Amino acid sequence: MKPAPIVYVVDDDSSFRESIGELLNACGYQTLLFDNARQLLAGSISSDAGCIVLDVKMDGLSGPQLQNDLVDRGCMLPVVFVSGYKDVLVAVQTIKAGAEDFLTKPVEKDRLLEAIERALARYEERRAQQDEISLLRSRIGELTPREREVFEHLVRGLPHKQIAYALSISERTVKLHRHQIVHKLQARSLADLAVIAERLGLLPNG
Amino acid sequence: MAWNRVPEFAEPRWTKGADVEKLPASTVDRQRDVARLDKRRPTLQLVTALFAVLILLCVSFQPAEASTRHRRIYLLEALSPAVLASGRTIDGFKRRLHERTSEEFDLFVDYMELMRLPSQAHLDSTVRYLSQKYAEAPPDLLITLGRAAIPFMVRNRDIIAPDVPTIVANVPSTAAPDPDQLRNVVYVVSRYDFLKTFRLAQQLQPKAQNVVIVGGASDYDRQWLDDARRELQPHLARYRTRYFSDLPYDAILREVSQLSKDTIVILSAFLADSTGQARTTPEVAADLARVSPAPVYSPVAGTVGMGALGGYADDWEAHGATVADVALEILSGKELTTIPRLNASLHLNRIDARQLRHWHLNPSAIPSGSEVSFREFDLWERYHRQTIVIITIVLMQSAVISWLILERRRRQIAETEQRQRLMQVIHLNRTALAGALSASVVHELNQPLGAIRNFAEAASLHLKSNPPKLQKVEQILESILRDDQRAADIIEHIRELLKRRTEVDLHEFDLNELVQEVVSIISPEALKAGVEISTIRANGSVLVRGDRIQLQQVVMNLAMNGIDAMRNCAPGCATMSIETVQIDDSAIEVSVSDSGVGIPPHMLRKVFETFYTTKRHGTGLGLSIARTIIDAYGGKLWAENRPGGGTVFRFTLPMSSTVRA
Repeated sequence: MKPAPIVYVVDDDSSFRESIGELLNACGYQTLLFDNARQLLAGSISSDAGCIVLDVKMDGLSGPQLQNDLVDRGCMLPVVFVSGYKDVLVAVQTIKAGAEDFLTKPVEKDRLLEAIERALARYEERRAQQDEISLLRSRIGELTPREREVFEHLVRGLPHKQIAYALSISERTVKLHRHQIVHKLQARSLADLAVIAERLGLLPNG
Repeated sequence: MAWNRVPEFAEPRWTKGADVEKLPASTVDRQRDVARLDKRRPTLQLVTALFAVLILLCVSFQPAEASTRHRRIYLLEALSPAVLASGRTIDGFKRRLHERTSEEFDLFVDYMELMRLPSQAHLDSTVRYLSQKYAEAPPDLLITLGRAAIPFMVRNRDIIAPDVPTIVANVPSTAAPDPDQLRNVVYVVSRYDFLKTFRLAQQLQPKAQNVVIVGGASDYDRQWLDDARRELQPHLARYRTRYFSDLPYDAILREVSQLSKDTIVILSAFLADSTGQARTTPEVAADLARVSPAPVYSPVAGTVGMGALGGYADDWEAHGATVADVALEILSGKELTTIPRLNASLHLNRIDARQLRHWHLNPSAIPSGSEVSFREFDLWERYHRQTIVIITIVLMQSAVISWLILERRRRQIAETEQRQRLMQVIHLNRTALAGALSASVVHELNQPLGAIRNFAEAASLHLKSNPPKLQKVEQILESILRDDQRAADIIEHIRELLKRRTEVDLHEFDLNELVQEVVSIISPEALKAGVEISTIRANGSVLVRGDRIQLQQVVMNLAMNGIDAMRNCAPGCATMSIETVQIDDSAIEVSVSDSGVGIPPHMLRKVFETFYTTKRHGTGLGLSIARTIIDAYGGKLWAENRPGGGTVFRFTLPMSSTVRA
């Protein structure tokens, strides 16, 4: 059985923190409670599924600051803000910065759970994307240097002839490499190759 | 009652021919108020007597040949010194002389005792004595007093003082003989007007049925009684009339005591009763009045005031004064013939108001022009000037006192009002503070409320699970209770802040705790404003005595001001520090410093002024109230700018004496 997702609750108000913890526990989540942002950063964040329920105004590091820090660290955990204040500006900023939701206290159970569920789904999505990308990366890693060169030229849309010319190899060899590349990357067509390249950010800009 | 004054008239019998006679009080304005005279008379008498002795001594040592010898006036009283009339007449005479001229006279008074010693031998010796005396020191003026002197003078004048101008005084006009019989004489007449006295009695007692006329048994008395009979007889037709005269004194009094109330008692002259016992008329009037069931009237001067209700009578002193007037005319060299032969002083209806009241007689029946004595003046009548002054002073004092009391009252009211207003303003400031905090309070309150809700949801889920996780629920309920308490505490804080208080509530408390409390109240607001609050507290408890809510308000005002000053600070730069420092054994200093915009130096004082504010929604009350409160506890509150920017507000408070280390 898949372990229950972990919800990280960061709030300097103990009542809220603990009550949310209890509620989420009762709803079947694992919870980890932190009374400030630094505590969270100091601890190790599990790679298991989860999300962060984050207060905005806290002593020391504020919620949005923590959010930025986490993004910088490449943390994939989606953030649900639960703020004591209805501050539209902050809400917009955090959402822009990738927050999953921005709720205000007192928060209704259903809305919170919805937001958490959505966040977890997002997490799963991100996770899936992440997994796919790393799979593609590992596949690309399997390419020989020459194949890699051919791949890069192919996804730029160059004809075989030009590639052969550029690499000083025969057109036939290019086709051979292409076949090998499509096989290794488990692509079905040349178009697929372009999609993969794009996902991995290998397409040159412009 | 005035009857107990009778013994006054038992005056000493003066010896015949006493040269240095008693000088009665001549300077006293002899109001008929005997009571008043009683008090003053002895000392005055003494003083005047000494004075007179001195004068007479001086006179007697002067050489006889002196060209400026004093002129001699001989006063010759027909009866004895015991007759009140002569004494009073002489008093009035002397006083008037003194008033009218500065010339000094040698006065001689002789009492001839013609009534008490009626023998021819006495008469002869008297004539001898006088003629010898007058020859030795010739009189410039002779004045006889009394009716009995007339026959004596008629017979003996040529012997004793043939050419001396003479005034015959104290006689009724009817007694004046023909001018031929007694030449070179003017009369000052006084009379006992029985008819007018009777008329007065009739007016006062219109329902009277009886008339009783009381008189003495001496010859002199008989003469007067004859006059009375003659005058009254025609008018007594409708009265039962009786005369009490030829009786012993006791019998007379007894008779009088048995009279009926509707009687008019008229007292004539009474110098002796049928046994020859000497009396004075005023004395008799007193005795009669004491025993009589009806009022006593008398035309004899001096009886009114002694017991007689009234009478148409002379006044002896006025009589004496008239004698003096005539005497001075004669002495000034005026021809006797140019002076009216008969002179008289004022006769009036004289009434004793005390008697009037005693007999319940109607005062309105008194004829106009009467002289009413012994009216019991009320304070107003008697001392109206003094009364006015005293009343005025009392009124003014009362007014001043009332004014002061009123002023004090008003001040008290004003002070109370001021205190109440101050309390109101303080309260206003607290509500403003509460208003400023309301957003954070709502936030603060939302925390436990939200938590309770979450806990409740959680508990509900636990109960629905199979099997229900009761232990978990139990834990949650405890948490719910805790958070409920937290919400209640917050509400309590606000309630305390908003509570309308009319009186100051003094307690001893720890200032450190108070600071902590303030921090807990304002920290949500500080958090919201991005202000970091730190506290540095003096060691141990810092006990002060005061109204905790008010001092909390002071710290809150300062802290809220600090937060407001840091609204525009860069994140992380807004810091506030609240410090308590014990500066010496008896004082504690609390400082609230911020890293805000600071106050321009010239405004450091102005910020404490009422209604001075820089905030858009400020009331301008916070700091002025803070200062008022601190002042009230004997502390000081001031502001300084910090060297590194920002402001520090400091206040000192006296520490409570019971300080724990």
